[in-house]
Amino acid sequence: MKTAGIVFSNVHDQLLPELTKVRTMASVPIAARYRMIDFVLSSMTNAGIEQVGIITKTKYHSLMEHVGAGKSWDLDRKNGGVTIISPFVEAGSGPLYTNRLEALQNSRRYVENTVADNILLSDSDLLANIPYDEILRYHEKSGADITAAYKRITFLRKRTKFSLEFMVGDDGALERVKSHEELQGTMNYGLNLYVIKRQVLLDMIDDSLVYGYKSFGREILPHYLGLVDVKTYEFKGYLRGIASLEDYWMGNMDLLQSSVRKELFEKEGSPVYTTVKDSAPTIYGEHSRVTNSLISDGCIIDGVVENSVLFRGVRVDEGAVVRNSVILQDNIIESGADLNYIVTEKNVFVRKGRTISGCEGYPFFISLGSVL
Amino acid sequence: MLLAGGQGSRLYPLTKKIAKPALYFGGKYRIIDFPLSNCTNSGIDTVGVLTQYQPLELNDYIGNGQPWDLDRNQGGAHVLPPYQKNSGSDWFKGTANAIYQNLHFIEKYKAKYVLILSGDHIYKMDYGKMLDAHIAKGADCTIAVMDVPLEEAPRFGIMTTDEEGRITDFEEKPPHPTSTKASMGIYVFSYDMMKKYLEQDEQDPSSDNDFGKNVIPAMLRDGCGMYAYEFEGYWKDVGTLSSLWEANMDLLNRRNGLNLDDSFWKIYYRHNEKHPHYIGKNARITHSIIAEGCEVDGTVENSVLFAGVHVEKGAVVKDSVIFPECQVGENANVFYSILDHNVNVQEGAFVGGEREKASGKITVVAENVLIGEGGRVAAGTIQEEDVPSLERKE
Repeated sequence: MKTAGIVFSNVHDQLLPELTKVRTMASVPIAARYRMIDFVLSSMTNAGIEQVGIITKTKYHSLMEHVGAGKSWDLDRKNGGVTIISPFVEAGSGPLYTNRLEALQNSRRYVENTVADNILLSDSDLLANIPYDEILRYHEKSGADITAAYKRITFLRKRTKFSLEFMVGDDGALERVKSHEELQGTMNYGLNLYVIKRQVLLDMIDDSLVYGYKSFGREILPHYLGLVDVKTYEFKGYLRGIASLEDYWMGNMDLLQSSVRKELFEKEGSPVYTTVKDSAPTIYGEHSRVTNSLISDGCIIDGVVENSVLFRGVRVDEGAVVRNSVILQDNIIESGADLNYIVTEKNVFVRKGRTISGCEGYPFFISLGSVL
Repeated sequence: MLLAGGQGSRLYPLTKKIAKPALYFGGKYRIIDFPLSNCTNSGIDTVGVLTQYQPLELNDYIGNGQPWDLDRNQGGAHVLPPYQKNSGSDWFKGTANAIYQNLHFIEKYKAKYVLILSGDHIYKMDYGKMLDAHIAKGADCTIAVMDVPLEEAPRFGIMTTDEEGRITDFEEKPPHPTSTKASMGIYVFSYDMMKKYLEQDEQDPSSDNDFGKNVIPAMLRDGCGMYAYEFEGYWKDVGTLSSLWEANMDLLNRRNGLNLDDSFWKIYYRHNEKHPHYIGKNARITHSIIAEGCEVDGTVENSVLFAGVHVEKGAVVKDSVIFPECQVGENANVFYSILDHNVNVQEGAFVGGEREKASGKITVVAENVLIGEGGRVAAGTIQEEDVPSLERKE
């Protein structure tokens, strides 16, 4: 059976306003050289999906530049391949879609035109290497109309984020969907990752228009629970949902653990691909003192770097100190500067002797192109 | 036309299974990335790569030329191995013969000018400017030259030129050089003239069919318009183990003149999917290059680590060049060495010796060799066999 993919690139933008000011959630840089969507597209191509539509709404230049023709993921195909589904605005059409369901309604033609039995829907807010091939095999074997993926997560502190909780039966059937505005305690957290029979998805889109539904998770999915066979798939591996700057910081810091790196990047048969930049290799100078850090290519490091993640082309001069920080592409940290618990955007220039610090649980953010 | 058949016998054992142009360089590259990237950056979009010695890995690496933007509808990169003809099959006898056997390739693209390159050198050069100079002079042949110290001149083909830059004399490896302008083995020919002389050279049974030895001198004798094109900048022939080591070390000095960071003249390479490198809690890294996929928890000093190298806690790597996928176990030592692809140095093993005492004799461990726990590889030796673990005294 053939599966096509649909990726929502914008739906979580408002949760990470700092980094989505100039880009979609899908193109947020992560893990020193990747973008969030790399994990989705790589999982898709590793599962044999050859046709992917990426739904975008706004700020999608960086996404288009990154994805291009899909070459990096082997998705530059004669049949299918990557399609960026931008808003189809015409005279008399309403405002831009505001949520997942409206986005799907807008993309109905794409779904209709795919040559596929199943459609895999994914967001781009998860740092995880999810085996889509396993979900697809499970979906086909069980004969379900919809397979919804979840992970059992314990939220120790209360968090504000609209989410779905799945009530799962013994046979793995999805019995009930509960929506939450706040998260606390242990729950089967819905990943917004679904495999749906193409015809069922088309029916859902049409029905949502008929009933005037506004939400996929709150309205149309519960509506369909009684109508079709909905199964669940539990993902048990490493996963970090990025729903705030703190999550973003923690996701990057997770990569300093060897077990997380192994799971994300060294899983047999599931490499993570990204667009190549042909950077020069990273050079360490005479005075460099680097420990417990993930460092990308193209950096020039002569200072102190501790518990940090450095993206491409970062320069840390002699005598500069970077600790517990996430430093995006092409930053320059001059000598004597001292950064602690910082997340910087691209092209930040920290002049000699500047000291800036956030604290644990509250990283300080420095915006694009700042000169300090 | 890129001559990539070089055996690189002085680089043994690194070139046991691969041609010299396919050799690893600078943490991320292979030597052939430099001429290929120079072509792309110079606006040359049709490149024939002539292979002969151990071509498999090179063929694989070049593929359809995509990493260098040489996957084109018209032109692009083509690997040209020796092939069988009606009249029998011939290996390429010399550089000139290799081009002669592939004249049909050049004719297919109706090239007016042909650039002849070798895949043995590390440098950045705008071939477009050289071609412009060739056209401006109305030359039949233009040869790139660079100034070398007089004492090194006997290793090269040496040109003497008049004030116009026209070559008046050419000597291949002269014992008593009269000039310091050395040929870099980079030629631009006007196609018709090159074809005429290659055909003529082919008729001569006593010829070695070599550009430097036969074709260039013949053209000079006949008074063809031959000009030198002067090149300044970083250029290194990585012909020996020690020059390969040195060229790698040159990259650690950011003012080496090669400037790999230049975003207007990138050196492209074929990528492997590896995550960014991780530097551990016990690591101490100074004056070194570390490529992607490495995991370093030991001490690395004055060294170049290629992709996917692991250096465990307590290990010391100093003055060394470590090719991809090597493992250096806990408390192991690697001094003044080149480790070929996938060498495994186990816990407590000792490879090589202090550079200061080595008097230039570098230690080399061949591909896939395993140095067992506590094993030793003596300084200055070439290790091609596994070394068993040292018996532990209970």
